[in-house]
Amino acid sequence: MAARLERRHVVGPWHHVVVPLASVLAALAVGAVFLLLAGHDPLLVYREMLRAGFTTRFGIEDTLVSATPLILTGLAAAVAFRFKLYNIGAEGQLYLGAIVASGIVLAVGTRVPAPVAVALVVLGGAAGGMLWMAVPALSRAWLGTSEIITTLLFNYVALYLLQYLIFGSRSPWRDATVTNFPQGRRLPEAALLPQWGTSRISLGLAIGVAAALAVWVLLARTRFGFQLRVFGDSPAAARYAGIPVRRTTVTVLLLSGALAGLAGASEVAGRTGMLDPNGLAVGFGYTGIIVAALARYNPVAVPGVALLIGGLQNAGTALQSLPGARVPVAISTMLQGAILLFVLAGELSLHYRVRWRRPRAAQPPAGTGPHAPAAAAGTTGATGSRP
Amino acid sequence: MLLGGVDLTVRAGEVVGVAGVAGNGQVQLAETIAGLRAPTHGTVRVNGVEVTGRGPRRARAAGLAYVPEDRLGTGLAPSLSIAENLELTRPQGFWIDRKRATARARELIERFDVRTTGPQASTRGMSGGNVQKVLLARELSGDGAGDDAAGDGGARASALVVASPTQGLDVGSVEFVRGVLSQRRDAGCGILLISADLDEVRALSDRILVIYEGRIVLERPGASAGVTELGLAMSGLSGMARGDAARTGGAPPEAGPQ
Repeated sequence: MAARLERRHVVGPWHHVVVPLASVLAALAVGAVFLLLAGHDPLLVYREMLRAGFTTRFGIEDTLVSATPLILTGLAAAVAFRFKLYNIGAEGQLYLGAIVASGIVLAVGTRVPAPVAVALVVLGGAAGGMLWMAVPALSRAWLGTSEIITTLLFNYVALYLLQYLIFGSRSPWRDATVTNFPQGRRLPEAALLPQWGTSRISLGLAIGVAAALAVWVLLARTRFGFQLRVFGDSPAAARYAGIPVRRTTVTVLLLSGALAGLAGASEVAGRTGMLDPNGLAVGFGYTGIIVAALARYNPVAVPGVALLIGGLQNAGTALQSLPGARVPVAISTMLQGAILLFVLAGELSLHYRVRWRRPRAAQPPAGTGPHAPAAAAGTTGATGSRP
Repeated sequence: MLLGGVDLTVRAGEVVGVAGVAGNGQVQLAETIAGLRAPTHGTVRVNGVEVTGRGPRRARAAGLAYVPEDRLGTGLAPSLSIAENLELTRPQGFWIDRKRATARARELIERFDVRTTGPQASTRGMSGGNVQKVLLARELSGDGAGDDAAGDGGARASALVVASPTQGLDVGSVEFVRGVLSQRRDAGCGILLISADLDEVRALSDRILVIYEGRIVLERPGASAGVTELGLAMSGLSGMARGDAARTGGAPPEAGPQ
């Protein structure tokens, strides 16, 4: 027996709901096996996770705070991956967004009113992310450099830059008055993103949700989005239709970088209040890729998935203090990984089905016909070679 | 394959057939005319407007339509719906008008007899005949009820380049496609028909050219062209028919220009 993957031509609408749900359930089942092996009651642990992440007031608040950067980095990944441009660099773009946003408002200081300062934070974040994406984007479009490699490597450069600004230099970002452990200078009060009532949920959440809607409108309703979908589906068709392939590549990647940069701005002005390498470098960029994959690169699904993953991360932390049962924090990381793997497998089953067939004794040679004799008149099926 | 010394004119209301074994420069010829490739020298004019290497949009604006050999993948984007594919080469505003596109798709599906579940169906998985009908519908539309004087840029193409238009199609679709091409010719459209199917070229063309190793090696009026003569020219065995293009031996064909 041999297995073969066959492309499904028709994907039923229910597939899109059932497959991700089944994937999450399967991941929880695998997680349960590990929990059992470690001597924990899976049901108890899952109930506690649900409680800690999604039902108590503080839990929900924490979840929303964690979800905020994930919405934006998730969008950054979704917008690029959907068109087969693999920006792995949301992490670095996030740092640069935070650096530029905080740099601008620290330089401007208290000279501008709050709305202007907040606008500077937002624009600075987007600009920082785009700046960090510019080299990978341009080299991908004009030199054919793999953006996977360049964006990934740029993450490390960005991380060292971030650490240098606070730990390794007397930069304007560093608080010169603190002499023991180096830390960032506090942003002026006016530049901090407004928070919802007494909670820690900032304007960043609203920016994330608005960005998700804006990206959706852009992709689904505008000419540019239409061109992007053609480009993502078939570069040959895009060229045929006269869609500028290089310009489109650069635009998509810059948009992706800007969204990741916004996440950095929202963190620095909405949560940490200063450029804080330890608070920023916690992998929001990489987790955003998981969020995007789970959302099937659909921008409107990103906020919901970010909420799920954000809650899972918070619950993992909460589990450590579960009385009597020290569940390791790694369980939430493992669950995230398992969910991703199952969703990717589910994605495959969405578009392909497995066909089992017995190997035949003599297979006919594949592809009959295309090599017709040179002089044959009326050859059909000859596709010819392309340069 | 490098094209060399190709000098051809297609007049209004004429079908010029380019016969040749696949891989002798047909793709390059079609793409150069369609504006997808820039020639190293020489010019391409559509309705008197020079469009040489200015990109496919310029060529279209001048009145050229191009039906490529690779229908699903180049002519159409496989994952997009029929309605979306029908908009692919049309000028659009900032916003996509989905309602209008759907209405237009319904009309074209009907007019070109496309068998499908509806305008939102994906083009992947359609039969070759239906794919070609969608492609022709888009490239040849611009006239008819749905496309009034709205000034949406949907002007009817007056020059058409078609590559292997019936290759791999069922009998009914072959009939349909040939009918559509003849109809357009009668309506005054100039058609360049590029095909490896000699029977098709002979059946449809008013004038037949033979392309071999990037050069036009033979030209005959459609009616008087004999199968043997054309076949020999296609295989490079009769350069004598057009002395200037005769070329045997010499340098091997170079790689494509792009």
